[in-house]
Amino acid sequence: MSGDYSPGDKVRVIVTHPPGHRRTPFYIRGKTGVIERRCGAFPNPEELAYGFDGLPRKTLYRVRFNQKEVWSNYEGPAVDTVDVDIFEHWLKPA
Amino acid sequence: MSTADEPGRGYHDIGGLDYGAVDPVATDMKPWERLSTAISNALGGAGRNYYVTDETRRTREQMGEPLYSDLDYYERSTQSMKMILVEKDYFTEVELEARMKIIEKRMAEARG
Repeated sequence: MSGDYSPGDKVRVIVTHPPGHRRTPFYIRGKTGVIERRCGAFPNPEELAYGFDGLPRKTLYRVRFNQKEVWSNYEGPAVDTVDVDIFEHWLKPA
Repeated sequence: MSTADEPGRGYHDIGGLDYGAVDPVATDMKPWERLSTAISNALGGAGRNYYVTDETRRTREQMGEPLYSDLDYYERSTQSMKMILVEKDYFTEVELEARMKIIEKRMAEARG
């Protein structure tokens, strides 16, 4: 477990670019957001992608990011956010 | 500005890159696209469980950028299904080629 988060907790997506099937989009790596909800625990798709059972399950979180934090050239309202579903092993406390 | 060749960014991982607006016009699926999708569903996690969705996503990322860029959505889907089935030894590339030649011949005969 890399962390057990609750809604409202601040988290940072780790910056790493390992080879393989990774479900965390490039654009969100290194960004800081807030846990919106705990989606549940699911077999790890990064293991399922290679024919393995994906166990133990990994907790998936919905993380809310400010658009201005994600895109340096964002021109919309400051209150705009984007939600991204991210597995626990991609998150660190912020 | 983000670019597609940033270190660590996969060729499929294009969120935020400037590809312009998405064309929202829906198009009808061609017959072969329907057939391929039906076969894929029958063999995948909702059917015989020969593979799961995550594996077909992974093979899309493994086929290489030139091929990935050349193929459209349903062609990629079909190619990724083939890669998984060959990887798991359900058939070989040689067997597939041989089978396709038989089918091509049959279709040519049917056309007269």
